[in-house]
Amino acid sequence: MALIRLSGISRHYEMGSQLVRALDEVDVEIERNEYVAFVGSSGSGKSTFLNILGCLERPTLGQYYLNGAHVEELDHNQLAEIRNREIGFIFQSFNLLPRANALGNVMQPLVYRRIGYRQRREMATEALRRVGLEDRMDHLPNQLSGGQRQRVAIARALVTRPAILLADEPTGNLDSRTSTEIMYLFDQLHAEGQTLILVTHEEDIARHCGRIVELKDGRIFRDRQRTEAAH
Amino acid sequence: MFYVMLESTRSALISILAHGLRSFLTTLGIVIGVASVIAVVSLTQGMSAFIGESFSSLGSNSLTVQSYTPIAEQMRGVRARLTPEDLELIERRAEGVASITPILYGSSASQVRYAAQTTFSQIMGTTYAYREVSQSYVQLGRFIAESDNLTRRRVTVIGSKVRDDLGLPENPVNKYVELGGEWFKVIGLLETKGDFMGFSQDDIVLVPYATMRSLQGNQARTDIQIQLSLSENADVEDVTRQLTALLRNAHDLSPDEDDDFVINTAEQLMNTFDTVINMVTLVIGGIVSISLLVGGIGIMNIMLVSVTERTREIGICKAIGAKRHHILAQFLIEAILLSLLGGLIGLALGFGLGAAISSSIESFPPASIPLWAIVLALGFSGFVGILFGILPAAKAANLDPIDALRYE
Ligand SMILES: Nc1ncnc2c1ncn2[C@@H]1O[C@H](COP(=O)(O)OP(=O)(O)OP(=O)(O)O)[C@@H](O)[C@H]1O
Ligand SMILES: [Mg+2]
Repeated sequence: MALIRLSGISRHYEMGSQLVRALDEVDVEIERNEYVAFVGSSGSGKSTFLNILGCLERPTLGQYYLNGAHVEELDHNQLAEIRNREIGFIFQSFNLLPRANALGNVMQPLVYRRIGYRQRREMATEALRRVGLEDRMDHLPNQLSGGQRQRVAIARALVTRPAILLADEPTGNLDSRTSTEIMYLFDQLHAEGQTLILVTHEEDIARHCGRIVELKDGRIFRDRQRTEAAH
Repeated sequence: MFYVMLESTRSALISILAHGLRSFLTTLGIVIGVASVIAVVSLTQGMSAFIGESFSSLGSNSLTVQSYTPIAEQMRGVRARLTPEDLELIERRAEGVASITPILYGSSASQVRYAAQTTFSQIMGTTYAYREVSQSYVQLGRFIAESDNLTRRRVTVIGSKVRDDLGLPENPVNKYVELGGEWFKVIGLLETKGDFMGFSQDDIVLVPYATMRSLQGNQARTDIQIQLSLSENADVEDVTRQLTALLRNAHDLSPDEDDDFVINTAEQLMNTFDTVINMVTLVIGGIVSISLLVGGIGIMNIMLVSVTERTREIGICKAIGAKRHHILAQFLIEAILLSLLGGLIGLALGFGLGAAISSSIESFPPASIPLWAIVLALGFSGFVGILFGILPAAKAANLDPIDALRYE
């Protein structure tokens, strides 16, 4: 069974009398260890889609199965549990806790798992080492460069060993060199067996992924395996 | 649960410290409320502990009988009196009395002189029994004896303040002092009792009752005060009833006339003081609960601001797996810590204030805070924290993750 299965997922926003169909009957399946990019023009529904995948938002219609769980049937606490255990979310604007240092930020998801301080610290240190930031652990977010902040965010997403990593324009706020470094990190994670799903509108970024899904007006316009396309 | 509390306390402390000044200003309402409670309680407690001690040294099983003339009667020139005959009557007829003594006050304050020094003091004529009834013992020399009364000896027992005021030697026994124009030999010095509510208890001159009467002559028809102490198993109310009946009969009062005397017990006096003190405490308590309410609203206000400011942070926490109760606990504990902090500062401030006031007013009893006041102050400020923290905390906990993340 697929790691992620969505069928007939729609997300509608009511703006006064107008109905905005941010997502319109989307069906997707994603397998374990896939490396998928969702692309499309601005307003095509990419972020909405990723937020639904990350259980931050509920779809208006449709079914979502994640790792065997039927997400629609879960309550607040179970969703929080899923966000904590199954999903690592990486944002375009990093979204670090401003008053906690790098280490504190990476330890935070483990707080919600009732893991003791020492073990938390150990796991967070390991994750920061993984993204090459072991010498910046006690820096506050505003004492770090954009690339370093995104690495902290990635460490925070990784530290819980989630089933899937979701990244919404992870390089959107970074220069091209730093973007390359971040993408190199993603490639490595994928090689180690991590399932990765990212949203981007940059060709260069999408090219790292094995599968590219194109959204248009809330619908899937094209879905192709890059290896096939390359042949 | 403990784990959540611990982690929430950790992060609450971080955020309180991050806004040091704001946190302090927020707690000011609580600080002022608690400080005033503690200051007032520490003062009144010190006072009532002191009053309690003073009265027990007075002898809690003693009674005082005084004449009493209502104002309306006084206007008509009538004066009620207690006479030596009343004293005799009580001595003869009342049961349950261990010792009894008359006190005859000199007309207003009289001049007391030793060598070139003079002072004014209340002179009291009394008997040997005064020693037991009012628990006044001599530190030097001897007390007035029965024979002093029988022979109307011109001897006196003085308090230490009188000795100091007159510049008498450390041991004034056998010196002569002039009381209202007559010479008296000092035979004893009373133990120092200290001040009571700003009045020195050592500014006292005792002479034999009979001597005092003979000196006053027929100048006025004497009005005495009677002090008596009860025997071991006598009942205060029973003795009071007996005395009332005896005196009403002796004074020829008809059933529709009021008593022309009052009988006070030390306990009654003490209860009156306690009532007054409790009233003061209650009134202040009312004012203080208003200020705690205002303080609580201040905390609620700043917590609401803080929730709004940190909406995005709350969104982040929810995105990485925080459940409602994690967020709730964090903000609630922050509110509780804030108001407990205020409570602690207030406690210290209030105690300092009470101590400063009591030490700056001479002869005011030292301030003391009972444990219950500390527990109550902290308990109450913690309660205020919960009461006014729950709304902002619930608001934070119920935020939708994606809405919170999108908040600008
Ligand atoms: N909270 C909302 N209320 C109303 N409309 C919304 C809301 N969020 C998104 N939309 C609408 O849904 C559509 C899809 O938005 P979404 O953010 O998913 O686009 P996107 O593909 O991520 O765009 P971009 O590349 O600019 O980030 C847009 O038309 C947008 O206006
Ligand atoms: Mg987007």
